[in-house]
Amino acid sequence: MLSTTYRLFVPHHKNNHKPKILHTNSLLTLLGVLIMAQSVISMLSVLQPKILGFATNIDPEKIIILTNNQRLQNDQKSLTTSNKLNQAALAKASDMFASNYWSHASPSGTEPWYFISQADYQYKHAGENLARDFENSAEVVSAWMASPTHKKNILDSRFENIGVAVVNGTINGKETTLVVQMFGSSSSEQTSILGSSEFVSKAYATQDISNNLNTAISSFTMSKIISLSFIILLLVTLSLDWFFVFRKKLVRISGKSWAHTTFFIAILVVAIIIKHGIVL
Amino acid sequence: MIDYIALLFLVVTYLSLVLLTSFSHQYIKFLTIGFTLLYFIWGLWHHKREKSLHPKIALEYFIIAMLGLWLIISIP
Repeated sequence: MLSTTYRLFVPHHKNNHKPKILHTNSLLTLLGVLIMAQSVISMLSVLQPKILGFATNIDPEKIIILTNNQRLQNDQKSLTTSNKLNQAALAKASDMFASNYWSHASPSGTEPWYFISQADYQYKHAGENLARDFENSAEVVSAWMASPTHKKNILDSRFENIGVAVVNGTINGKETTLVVQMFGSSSSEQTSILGSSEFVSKAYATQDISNNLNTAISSFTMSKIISLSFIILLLVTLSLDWFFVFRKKLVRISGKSWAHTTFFIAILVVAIIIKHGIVL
Repeated sequence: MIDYIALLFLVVTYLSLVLLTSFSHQYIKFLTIGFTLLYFIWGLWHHKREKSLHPKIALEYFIIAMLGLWLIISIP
């Protein structure tokens, strides 16, 4: 066992002075295993979405609660849920899937305000935030809060009502979860699901709801874990190789381990920071 | 010496551009294709300068570049 590990990771005469993992055949095998693993994940996400998939734990009510938490923390009044704005958000999300676009305005030029008016919400002021490919409600709201324009909508003192829709579908051939958040203020608006005082207490009490959700692991997370595992395995092997080649002053026909290490450090950084969801 | 600076420049440029894309998946994938291709070319250039270029080495850089590329683009 120890001998095998030594042969895999440390250059010496039994592996032709190069770790077995870094031999061309082994690298090709690693590439093959990686491609197979990612193919299995892709298949599972389609065939068994409950195990791996694009299905997320984003819940419209939690988005509203978390949004109101942000407003309360910034000394703004909490928003009341409007069924009309919920309908408008749902109509917007459905239109994005039906017309295959990811934008505030549709390819035919339809603005978000059209959906708000169609839902019979007579607005004085209105706003829209969009998000896609996130895994839970907290990530969505955090991403919006990290973006100055979306944050401005969330904290806008003119808004009184909110509506949110979360819809799964396919855009440009990619399965995705869209989140549409609509804001508005209207003197004629009467519909609210919860009274504002009830909302305030609920908002405070459920700050961490999204963190406690029992989620099925997404294909994104699974792929990221696999990629990171491979990168770390290669980095450890390359670093050991680099160290022993330098110490033993080995001369061999081979690429430079320090160069490969530098290359994979860059790949590691990108694999770590790559994010799934985007906001608009 | 210039080889080392070139590789460092390549890595720093790649990471800087990734940061500038606001982590957009699509851009990162395109940048990674460019980065891995340039790394492969850098490997050939470096060993040619050192007069140690060998088909085995070229193949090694190619596989390493492919691995790096796949490790990023396989993240959906």
